[in-house]
Amino acid sequence: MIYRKGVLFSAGLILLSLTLLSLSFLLFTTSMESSSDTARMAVADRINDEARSIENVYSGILSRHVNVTINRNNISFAETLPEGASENFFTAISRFETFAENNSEFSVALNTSLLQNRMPLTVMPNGITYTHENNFGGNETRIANASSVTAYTLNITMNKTGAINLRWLTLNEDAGGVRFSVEVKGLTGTSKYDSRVLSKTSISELQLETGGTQPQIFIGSSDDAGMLRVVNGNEDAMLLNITLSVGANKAVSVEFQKESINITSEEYNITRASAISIR
Amino acid sequence: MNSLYGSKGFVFSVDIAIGLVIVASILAMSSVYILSSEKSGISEIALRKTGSDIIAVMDYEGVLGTYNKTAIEGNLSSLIPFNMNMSMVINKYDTNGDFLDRLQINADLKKNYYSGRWMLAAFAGKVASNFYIVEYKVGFR
Repeated sequence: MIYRKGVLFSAGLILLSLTLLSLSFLLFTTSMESSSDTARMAVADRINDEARSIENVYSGILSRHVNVTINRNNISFAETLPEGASENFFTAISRFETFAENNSEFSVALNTSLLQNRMPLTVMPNGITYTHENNFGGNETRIANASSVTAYTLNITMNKTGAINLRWLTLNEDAGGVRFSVEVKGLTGTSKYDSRVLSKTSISELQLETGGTQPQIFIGSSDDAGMLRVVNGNEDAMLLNITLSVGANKAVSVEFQKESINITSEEYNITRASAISIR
Repeated sequence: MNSLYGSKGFVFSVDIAIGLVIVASILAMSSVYILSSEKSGISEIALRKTGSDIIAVMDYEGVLGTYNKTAIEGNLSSLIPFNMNMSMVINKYDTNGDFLDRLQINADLKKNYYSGRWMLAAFAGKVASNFYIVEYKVGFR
């Protein structure tokens, strides 16, 4: 009888000990997982900080060459065409790229070749692209994929003395098209202004008669509705300010091309890929 | 049957006592674990987020790029919550990536801190003049 009681007592103790051991093990593993999650979150935050700081530097470089401002659904791009200081832009971009890649505690890959070649900006969420066709520093700016643009407003200052005239070489007006307004002025003389509603799908061509090589503006295209192209073949740079109005219901932002910044922690297998945004 | 060691009551009592001790231990351990993990988690997140936001604001305002100890310390003291401390080291480089100088902002925090890094550039007109790496530490007072 005493022997049987001892066995039951021992079995009970063993079961309780096993329960206690299991709970301790569960607590230990949960604790380990929790501390591992905390470490991952800390690393993710550091990667996020690094990406934000790199984006901020690129935004700073960009804004010194193309000034982007967003006011509700109106986005303005102001630049010199062609950009005479484009070498400063290329140098700053490539030097910071090297600096960030060499000095990061993570694996940083910056893809800036497209940025340097055409400096494409994308208006989100509409997907309108603002690019430089013949390299940044070239003489052509193009706004494409622009069917959602409702109005263009251009303010152009030519580095010219004397009269500047506006002459339509091709004109396709359409009441259901895009409102196009342009004001051009030189260093002297009065400014010239024109405003019309033009077809998005048939091309209209406006020439700025400056006396030298004539800058041209193209609006609308059969294969790229709402497109706008400004070509300044003139040896004198123009100050170009383009404001486009879009019918967006969501907040508008302007981004460099997608996935220009990739930061990876190989130890924690965390990757952050992002575009540089201007909101 | 009358033996002290053979009584059912004694075994039952010992069994109950051990059970109670085990349950009490588990409850105590769980409470301590849950309370301590919640407290430290929230504190750490608060430190991380506050430090990161402060350094971002100082960059956006252009204060860090001045590389001026007085201006940076003044701006930092206006941003940091009263229950936190923050120190930073700003490493200055030229645009070729060569190290130039180092600036210590506030006394270096030695323990119980969260650390982070921030890169920035200073400009002279359209030209990038210097690159900086800020290594900051933030902790509770």
